[in-house]
Amino acid sequence: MWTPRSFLVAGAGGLLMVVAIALRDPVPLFVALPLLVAPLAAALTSLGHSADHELKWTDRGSARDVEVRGVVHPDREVDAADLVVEFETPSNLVEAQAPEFHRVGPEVTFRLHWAATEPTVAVVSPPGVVWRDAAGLVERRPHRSQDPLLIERFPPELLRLGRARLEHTLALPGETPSRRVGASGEFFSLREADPTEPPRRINWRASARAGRLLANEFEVDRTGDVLLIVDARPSALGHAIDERLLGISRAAAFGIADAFLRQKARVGYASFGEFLDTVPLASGRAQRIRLREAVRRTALSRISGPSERCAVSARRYFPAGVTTLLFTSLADEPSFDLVPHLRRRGYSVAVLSPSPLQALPRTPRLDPTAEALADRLQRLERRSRIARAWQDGPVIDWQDYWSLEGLVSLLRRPRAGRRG
Amino acid sequence: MSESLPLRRGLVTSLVLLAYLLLLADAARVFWAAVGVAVLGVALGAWFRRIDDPMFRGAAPVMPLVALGGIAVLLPPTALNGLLAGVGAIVLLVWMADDPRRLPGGPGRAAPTVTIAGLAMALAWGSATLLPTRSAPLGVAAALIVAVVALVSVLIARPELIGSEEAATS
Repeated sequence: MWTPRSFLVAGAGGLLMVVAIALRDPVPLFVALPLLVAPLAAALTSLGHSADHELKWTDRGSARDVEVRGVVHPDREVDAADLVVEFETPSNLVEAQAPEFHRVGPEVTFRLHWAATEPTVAVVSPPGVVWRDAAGLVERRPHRSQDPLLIERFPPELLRLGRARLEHTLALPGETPSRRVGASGEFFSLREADPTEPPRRINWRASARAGRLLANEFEVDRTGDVLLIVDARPSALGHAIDERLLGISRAAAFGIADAFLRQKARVGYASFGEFLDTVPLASGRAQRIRLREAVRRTALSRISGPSERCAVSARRYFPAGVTTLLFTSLADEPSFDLVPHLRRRGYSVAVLSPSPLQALPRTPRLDPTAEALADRLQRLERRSRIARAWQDGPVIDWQDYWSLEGLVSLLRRPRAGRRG
Repeated sequence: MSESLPLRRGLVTSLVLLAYLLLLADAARVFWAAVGVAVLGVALGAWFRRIDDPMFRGAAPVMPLVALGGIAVLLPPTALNGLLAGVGAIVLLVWMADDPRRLPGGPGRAAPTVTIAGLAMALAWGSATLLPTRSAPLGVAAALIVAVVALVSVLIARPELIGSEEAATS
């Protein structure tokens, strides 16, 4: 494949040739000839090269830091100096440092430093790997595509979500394994330790043998179902803020789902835009993949479906009595309506509402006093909205996106009895 | 990538290209215009290829190309000027291979491409100037036959260069 530079060089050569003929001057002709031949020569000399490669990459960061490390190993013995590896920063991550590339033999190793400004489930497209000749005249692209990398960043409290009390919806739930350490727990298996793993969960002997940190998984008697509903309808906040809040809700939903799935609880997921898109209750690794794909698919809908439709549709897929977490901004009337409709159909709903106040843009024309007043009015309005929503169920006003302490304490709180 | 580039990256080839264009300008019919075009073309090209924006980097060779073409038009039509102008195009190809945003050693890696382009130019110049007027087409034909034979020899010696599909059962 010739690059635009090839066409530029050949075009300049052709133009010079025309000029030479028009002026009957051979000198431009001798300039034109190498320029016309060079793209052909580059194509000829690039015959043995290829950009087909094997990509190994992983996310090594923790919390807000995202550090992606990887190796691009070409299939053929090509000069790594001519392999151009380019990355695109996902929209919900920011570049913290310039990427590092090192050529070691035929391999290209890279290290990318990004930062997550808020909880996110970011899909990193595979790098664009191109073999390009040194003069930049010809390039070869790989024939096969690589899998994207999923970067998940949630508030750290989700690691401690294990003690949450869930409503039981199975008659004979039986014993299910959990990663929680408890008196009744028995050793279940080893797994790779998370960067924020508490030291008591680390199996130090196994880690010493393996050369990497491994953590214990235990079994305890535990069961329960949880349903996560994300409100993906457009609101009065506008598309940009809705998108941002939905991204945060998606990340939290996936983090919560992941935390419960690790305890082998059953998790269901639904996103409601115009219609309800559901993943029925299930547990296990396959369910994690299903949920991950569903969360990735969740996008802001253009048309807002009626709240009752969400509740009616949910009843077709999920049994009544499931502990239900609803992610909504509570920014307008339709989002308020969801909770009573869901409660009427037997769902025990708690609302996790990402606060739009942090996402609202500052008004540059206001002086500091007026800005403080506007800020206060917005907070008061938000408080009144939260208070109104509390009439139908518990609401967590999620102001600090990197903390879900409110949700964790709500889920752990002992219940007096089933309501609704 | 927003990393800052060391100043010396790509500087040597830029200076060589500038010096060569100034050498050509010395023989040009309008000296100062040729010098101006040479300095402006190389300076802008060297600056553009250091800018992070892909649009500027893509446009970087345009200015030296215009400068070289402009000077070539201004040169009196002699055999020596033809040779010098042709070598100028080769120097420009070397300058393009020395991209400061890629790993050093680009001119070395681009040597096969530059050599083939240089050989083509040398054959054309040799045919046009060294052979008697009637034998010029003969020289071009001979050069083409030699080039085709060389290409076929290379492809026969290294069939993997043509590329082949892997068998589904292998």
